[in-house]
Amino acid sequence: MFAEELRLIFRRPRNIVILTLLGLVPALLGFLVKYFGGHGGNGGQGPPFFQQLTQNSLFLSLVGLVTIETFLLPMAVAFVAGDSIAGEAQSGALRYLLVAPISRTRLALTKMAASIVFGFVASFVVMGSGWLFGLLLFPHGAVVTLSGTVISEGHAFILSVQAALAVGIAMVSVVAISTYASTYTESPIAAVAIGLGVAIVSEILDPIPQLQAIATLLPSHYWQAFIDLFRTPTNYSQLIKEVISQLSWLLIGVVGSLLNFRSKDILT
Amino acid sequence: MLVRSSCLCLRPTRHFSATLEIRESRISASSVVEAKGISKSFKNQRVVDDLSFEVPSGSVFGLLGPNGSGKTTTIRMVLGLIQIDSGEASILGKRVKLGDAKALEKVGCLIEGPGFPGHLPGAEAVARLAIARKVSRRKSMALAEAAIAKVGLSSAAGKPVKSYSLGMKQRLGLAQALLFPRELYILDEPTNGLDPSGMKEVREIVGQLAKEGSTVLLSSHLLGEVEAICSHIGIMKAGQMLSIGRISDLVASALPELIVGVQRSEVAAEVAKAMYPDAEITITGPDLLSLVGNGVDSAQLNERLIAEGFRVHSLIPSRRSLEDVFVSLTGEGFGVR
Repeated sequence: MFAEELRLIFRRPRNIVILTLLGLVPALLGFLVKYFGGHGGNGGQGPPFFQQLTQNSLFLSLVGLVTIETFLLPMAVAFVAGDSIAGEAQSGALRYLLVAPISRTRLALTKMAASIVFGFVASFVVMGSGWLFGLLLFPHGAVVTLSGTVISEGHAFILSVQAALAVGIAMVSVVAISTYASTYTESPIAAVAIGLGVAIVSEILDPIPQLQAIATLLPSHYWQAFIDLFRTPTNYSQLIKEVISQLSWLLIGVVGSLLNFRSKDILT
Repeated sequence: MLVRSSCLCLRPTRHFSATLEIRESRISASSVVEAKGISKSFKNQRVVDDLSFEVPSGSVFGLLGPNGSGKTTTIRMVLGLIQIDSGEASILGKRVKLGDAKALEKVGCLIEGPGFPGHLPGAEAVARLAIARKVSRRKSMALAEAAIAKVGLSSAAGKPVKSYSLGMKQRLGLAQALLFPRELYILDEPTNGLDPSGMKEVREIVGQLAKEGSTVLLSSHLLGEVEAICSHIGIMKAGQMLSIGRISDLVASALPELIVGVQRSEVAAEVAKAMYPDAEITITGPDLLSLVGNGVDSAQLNERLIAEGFRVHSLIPSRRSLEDVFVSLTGEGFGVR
């Protein structure tokens, strides 16, 4: 069933288009910076890694991850997770799955797990594409970290794989919220909008000083934690908090989805 | 064309009255679906109201009723898709609980039309439902292809569902109901959207299922359809069961009708009234009379009318059909609530 859900996601033309477009993001950034960009002309401001972009090929995947994480990736993930149950309800397939029969709990959990996998795959598509186009466009060799230390190319590659994993983990909350919304409606678009909406509102609220007290509870609060991987010494404390934060949101999503879905009248 | 070329792999059509007799003899006393006073309301509207019925094992049970009479809601409750507000139902001896999947292992169903993810090829869309039951992918595909062959859709099995016509989707819906051999089939409007040959095939499939020993509960508002394939019927209106039983008993309980073609029908009606005071006599046209009631003897009436100088063109004893029973119970016109 889980494998079948993955097949359903990854063989759906729409999702393939989404993954392809995400994969093109680092390529596009690389070309723009290489052929139109100055050399870090804004004096150290701007998103992390952009400054180092032209110096080493490995930074392109990190630039890609930073770029997609704020909006495009949550949108892609919300598309899949929000569609997961509401889409089946809309097409009428949900009732046939349930009388197949399959338990509602198993169906919801399988859908959620498959959507989480999609988040990781999307993250790795961007990382992989960034790595590939980075090699094509920029010089490679030892990497200078954000702290100014030098690490080997191999070490830096492992760190960027960890970064992609961290971004995949960051999407768990988006999956949880979108799936939860997906159990409430027969309209996939509504569930997608709610999932994406929560992510964006969270990102907007996060930097507001008056809301600092609750900022750590927001699903997007630790999304940038993976940047710490490229400081020396590598600091994992934020990343650990990120994992805890995402797992908490997952728990909320699972409990909420099951409570609603298990007692819901299936009318479509 | 594609659909019809690979026709049903069922045995040649048997005459239905023959299969019906076989079926009736095998019907046992136990019931496979049982509802005891079930009710369901949506937004303060009572859609199913204190409904009780039993579907005998081995029967082909037709659930009849005008649109909006609560047939589909009843079926959804029995399948645990929607909560039963009050009362209780059981299926194959197990009490129905919302979302309880276990009772449904031996039930195949078609509920309110087909429903498949549009981008999947037909065979995969059906196989998915076997995979959901932890059947291996390879075996699921084989089961799906066999079921699709039964409904004559093999040539379209590899095409995405969204490219199917309405009738093809309906056939695919039937195929998923036939994915496994089951003890009970619940088919909601199985002939919806099908062409006449498709309808005939459905009749044959249902006949075959019954012959193999399964019970079939089907809902329909096509009375001819139900009369042709069902052994039992329940007639619903406004969420209640108006009448339930063997179809032969229900039809037999209806009073016979005699249609008389006679000139000066108004005057002839007086004569007939005098002869059969208990019969319901209506003048249905300038030269037409209808007599409904027991004991109306066409030969006797004919003799009398001729003796009185009437010219009688025709005397047609009319066997009351299920439609007459249906209309007399549910009222003229299909009033949607």
